[in-house]
This record gives sequence, structure tokens and C-alpha cells, in this order.
Amino acid sequence: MSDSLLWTELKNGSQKALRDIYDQNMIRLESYARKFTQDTELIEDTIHDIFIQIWEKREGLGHTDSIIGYLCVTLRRELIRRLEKSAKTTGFEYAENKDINFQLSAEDLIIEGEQNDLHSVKLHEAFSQLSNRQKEAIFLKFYEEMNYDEICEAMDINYQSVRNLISKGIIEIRKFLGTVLIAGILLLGY
Amino acid sequence: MPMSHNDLHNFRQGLLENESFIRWVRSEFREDDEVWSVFIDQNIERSDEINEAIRWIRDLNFAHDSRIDKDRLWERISTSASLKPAVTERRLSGMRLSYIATALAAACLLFFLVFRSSFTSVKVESGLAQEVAENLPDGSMVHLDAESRITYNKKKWSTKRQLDLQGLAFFEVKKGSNFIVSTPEGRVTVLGTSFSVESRHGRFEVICRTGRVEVTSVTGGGAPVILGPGDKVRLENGQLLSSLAKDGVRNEITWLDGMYTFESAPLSEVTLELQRQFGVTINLPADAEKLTYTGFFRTTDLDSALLSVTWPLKLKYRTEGKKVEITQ
Repeated sequence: MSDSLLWTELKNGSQKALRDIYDQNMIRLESYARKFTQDTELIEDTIHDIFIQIWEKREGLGHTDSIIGYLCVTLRRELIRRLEKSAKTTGFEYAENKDINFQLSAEDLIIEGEQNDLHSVKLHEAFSQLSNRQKEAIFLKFYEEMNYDEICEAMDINYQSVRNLISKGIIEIRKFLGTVLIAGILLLGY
Repeated sequence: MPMSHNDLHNFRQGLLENESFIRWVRSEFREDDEVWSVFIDQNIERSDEINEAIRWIRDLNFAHDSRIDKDRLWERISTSASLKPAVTERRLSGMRLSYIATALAAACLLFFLVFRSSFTSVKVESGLAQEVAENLPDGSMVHLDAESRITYNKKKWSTKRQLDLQGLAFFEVKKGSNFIVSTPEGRVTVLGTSFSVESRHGRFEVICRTGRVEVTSVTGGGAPVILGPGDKVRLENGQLLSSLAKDGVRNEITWLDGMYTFESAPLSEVTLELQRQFGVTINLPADAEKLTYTGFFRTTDLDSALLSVTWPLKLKYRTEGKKVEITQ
């Protein structure tokens, strides 16, 4: 069933639709949340509250063709709000450093086939060179399969910035890999 | 016309950043199948770049990172949202108390008698004239036709996606490790695709809608057959016979839309299908059993279904409640 159809069924009060949305997206939501915090209880509470919220406010929900996109945007906003709040009350490091970072290590990348061949070693290295924002944009694009508009909303930056983060990220990886000569030439003209 | 480096760059980069293309590659070429297959056919001279883009998308693959107990969290959500219990439980509450008590006693007894792990075995069944759609633990979907059944081990599902099938079912498989459908006649192995399997009264037929499927016969009749979109394989006299889309006819999974098609099928097989779909009993004269039928019926109403089967064979029918009499 397409996302927009499933979403419409949810809006019409289908409990099965809510369950399907949960089943299809829960793991990807948790995987995203874990890039911000390892506090399982907090992640669980936040996901719980988001599902309660979409259920209780279902009639007022807008239309969407990408449920995971909608959920990720909501999750990120809510999670960061709570992390900031707890940082303030406990007076820990977050208070000064307002940005709560997306942390993704190269080990989170899985490469099909041989784990230890040169290509995968280089890819891991290349990926770890990227900035946190580049990693997040690439993660949202390739793992959560979100479109540019959704990534803009999630990361709260404009369209062009998202495009730049992703295309420069990809070019940087390619440059690092050094396997494609053309990519190097292109960088000059970029 | 030679391309400038910039064109080359933009083409590949454009693909790499296209979410529909990404989804298509991620789903093992399932969603938007038509669109991107056509696109590749039209850009055959750029297949190197397309392949490179595909490889990039496959390389930028991230591991799931999940530790929360999915079922427990769902229970919490459904309690907070005060959702009604699931269908099966609702049916239970409608049953008389004594039945529940008996069932409980039986369950307790079983607990001591049967090895614990067998409790993780899940059975999904559909009755007469009933279709059932169900999510599997990894988000894959199964759509059961009337009078069909699947069983699988819920606990082992995360490491081994394997289920037993009796009857007819359509699967939409989420990308992941091998997904295996076992039947008494053959095994179907997939990586992430959608396809239908029928295993009934010795009849075995697989139709692939998207992606790739590998079919092996249990009796070991010949090499495994690989099916692509629109391909079909059938077991006949212990041999796997395939009908491939590239040879002309694209095989469709019509039963999902309530249409049952037959090609030179014994009439008895057709009436069995009618019985399953409408929950009726059909009386067929012995000499009509040998007739063969080519055509289809729809499940919208019994009368027109009976007409579309009997009329081409110059047979008559009469219905009385849930009973159908077919005559010469």
C-alpha cells in the first residue's frame, strides 16, 4: 500500500493503519534517534509520544507521501527539544554548545560483499572525513530515503544548503576514493 | 555526440540524488519498477554510469541500529491510545466463557507437553471466501487467498526468514537476507521482491511481479529457475516449466484483483476454485469432470462467475442457497 493511502486510512481512524505505520517505520526511526543519543528510555518515550500524537490528532494531520519523512522530522525536533531541556536542567555540556550533534561512525556503513577489500576500507575512511551535517544529510537521503524538502525541514536549513551538503559530500567521498579521475577534474569546475 | 565532463557528472550525480531512484535500488528494483526499467532501456548507452550510480547507492548503506523491544513498545502505545484489542482477541471475547476456560486448560496442558520453542510458531489462516493480509515481523507483507495457510517461527524470523505455505499467497518482501517460502513441491527463494506462490493438491505455480525469484523443485526436477518480472513457472510431471515475459506474454497475478484465470484446466479444478472463493458446494456430473476450461471468472458475484465458466462449455447451472448444481 502506498504511503499516501496508508496515511489517509490513519486519518480515517484505522487502527490497523497505525499498526502498519509502526511496523514499517519503527526500526528506521530508532536508528535515526540513536545518532543523537544512546538513552534508550528517552528514545522509547519520544517514539511512544509521537505515535500517540499522530493517533490523537489524526483528523488534523496534513497529507504526506512519505510517512518516514514526516516521522523523522517530528522525531528529530522532539528529541532535540527534550535533550536540550534535560541538558539545561542538569547544567551539562549541552547548555553552552547549543547544537546537539548527529553522530554517525563509519562503522554504521554496511558494505555488501567483502568487508575488508580495499574499496570498503577506503569508503569507510572517506565517510569518516565528512562533517556531521554532511553525514546526517547523506544518512537521511540514503537510509531514510527522504526527499530534499523533508531533509530541509528536519535539519532546519534551506533547500540549497541540503543540496550542497549531499552533492559535496558525495564528491568528497569520490575524491577520497580517487578511483574516478573525472570527479577530481570536475571539482575544479564546480 | 561526445559529452562534456559536466554532462557526465550531472547525469550520474542526478541519479545518485534522486530519491525515487534511490528507493528503487534500495528495494532491489521493486518500487517504480516500470519507470526505471524503461529509463534504463532508453539510456542503454549510459549503462556504465547507471551501474556506477547503483553501486554508489548500494555502498551508502547504513546498518539498522535498534535495541527497543518492538512488541512491548507497541503494547505501551496501544494502551495509551486505548486502542481496541486486535481482531483475534476481539473474537475471543465474543466466545462463551466455557470455551475460553476449555481453551485455557488446553493451553496450559500444551505448555507442559510441548517444547517451549514451538510457542513461537505463528500460523496465519484464511477461511472460505476470505482473503487475509498480514504483516510479517520484518515488515514484509503476505496476502492469503481463500483457504490458505502460512506458518513461521516468530523468534527465529530475524535470523531466518522462512515460512511454510499451503494454498495460494502473494508476498511483498522487504529487502534483507534470503526470504524462503517452503511448500511440499518446491522452494522459492528471494532477496526482496513481490511474487505469488500456489501450492494446492500437488499443483505448484509461482508468478513473479517485481524483482527476482529463484525456484527449486523439491523432487529435484532440473536446475533452479530464476524468474524476473512477469515470469511464471509451473510444476508439470515433476518438471519445472517456465513461461517467460520475454517470450511474449507477461504473466500477471490476477487473483489479487479478484480474477481467476485458467488455461486448459480440468473443470473440477475450476469448480474447486469457485467453491473456495464463494464458500459454496458444487455438484458436477462425472462426465463433465473431464472437460477442460480456458477463461476466467471474477469474484464479484456468484451468478456471473458461474455463467462465465459454464457458458463456454455449453453447461447449465442452478443455485439453491449455498448449493450449486451443474448439468449438461
